[in-house]
Amino acid sequence: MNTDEQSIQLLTALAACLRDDPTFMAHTLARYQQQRGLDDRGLAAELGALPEMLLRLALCRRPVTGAPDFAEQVRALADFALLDETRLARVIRRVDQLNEAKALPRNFRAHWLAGARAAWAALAPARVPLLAGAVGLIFFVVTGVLLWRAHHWPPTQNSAQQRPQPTATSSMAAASVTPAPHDSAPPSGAHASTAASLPEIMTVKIDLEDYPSLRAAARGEGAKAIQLPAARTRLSLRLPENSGNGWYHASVVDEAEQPLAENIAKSRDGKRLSVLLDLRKLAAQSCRLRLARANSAPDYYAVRIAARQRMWRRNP
Amino acid sequence: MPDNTDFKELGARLHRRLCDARDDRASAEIAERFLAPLAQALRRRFARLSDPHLTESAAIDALLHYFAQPEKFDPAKGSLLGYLYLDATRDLLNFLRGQKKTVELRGELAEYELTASAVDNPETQLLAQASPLVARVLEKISDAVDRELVALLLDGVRETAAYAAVLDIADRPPRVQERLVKRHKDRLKKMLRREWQRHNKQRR
Repeated sequence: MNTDEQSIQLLTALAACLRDDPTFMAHTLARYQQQRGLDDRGLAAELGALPEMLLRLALCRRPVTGAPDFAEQVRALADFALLDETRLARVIRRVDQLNEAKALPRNFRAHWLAGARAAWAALAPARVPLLAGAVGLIFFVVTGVLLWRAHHWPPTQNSAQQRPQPTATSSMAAASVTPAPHDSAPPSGAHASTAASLPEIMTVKIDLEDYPSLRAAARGEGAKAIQLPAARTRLSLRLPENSGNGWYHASVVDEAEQPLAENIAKSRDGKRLSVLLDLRKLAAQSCRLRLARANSAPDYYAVRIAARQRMWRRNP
Repeated sequence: MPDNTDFKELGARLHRRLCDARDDRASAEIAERFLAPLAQALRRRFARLSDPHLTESAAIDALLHYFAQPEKFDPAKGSLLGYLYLDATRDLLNFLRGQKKTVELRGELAEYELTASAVDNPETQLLAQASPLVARVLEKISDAVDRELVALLLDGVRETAAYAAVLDIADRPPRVQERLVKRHKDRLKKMLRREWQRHNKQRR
């Protein structure tokens, strides 16, 4: 690896750290990618940017939208990263709109709670009869609903048995697939409905000690494929012994070594690594997981991409 | 090659720009210019480290600290590279003490020594080079005038007069100059975009 490549790798790692800092463009670009489901290549295409210049843009601070010289700052940034200024302004504004939309319900909730508290304080003298009335009303409504259901609801058949489990372990010894904890479990009922209600991010836990790298497999230790869903997948990897800490570049590559999905992540202890890969656009196929640490030869593991629905069906 | 004071001045100039809220590009320029030399200097100092990757993490962390609190650096006291180097070294030594590992270090290289030996240092040579990102882009352009124009864009030059001089249109009225410069900037951006798209298609 030559000096330029090393430098670019360092800058990429720095940009990855800056994704957490909202004052940097790295954060804005990451939010936009997340919102639009774009990988780096897709983002470069959408902005009409060279990959090197996208990295440069990520390292810049973010212009403040409401500032009087916002347009001039965007123009300066666009020239600096050889981008089209209109596209850049659009990206920044979209991310702002997203942030505002997220902030709105929180503000609304805060106002509503404050209003409710004020009303409750105003009603202080009449609290006891009011509470009694509310409890009575709730009791009346619940009883009514239960009675109505007892008379009109058709009986269900083994619905509890058909319900998929929210946490599922795959048939493989060391890998387990778990929907992200913040996502809801699929609704009860047939599996046919699960594709629409599957969680956004699947977490796959993999102990790489249980999967020989392709180098080891070539020595005759037998290749066992890691099974991954065609979804946004967080790989929670237990690294093989003697792996170092620091930045790793994880990618799923095809036979021609072309990356199909990639991301970088930092392992603080050299034992665990958590990296998010967007595998949604991948068809069911066999490919390889490439795990590369700076200044080290990459390791390859056999991977089989399974269709989301198939994987979900097999796992409960 | 520029001398040491130029490098100190370069750091001070970029630092002033970073502290200016209206300049969004300074952080990128600082990272492009200083991250690689900083990592290299740390690699040389901590040459016996079992995990060489730690030096890169320390270099990145030093820049992150600096971006978060640029006011802690005082250009009057020393160079920016020296400041970042000391911050990263302190972090690394603390980390190593925490790990209770014995590491053989090269002799202490204080900030003033780093500056004094700068001319022979690979860091100095790296600082003298253009940013790797800029170099990659300039490689793609064969026409000399276009290269000059793109170099101005990548250097963050905003004055129309600089572009007009390269385009040899300085004798035209200012409004015409502005229009022509804008047209050339857009043309170059489109050209590079098309070049990249073609390159991508070929790779596929």
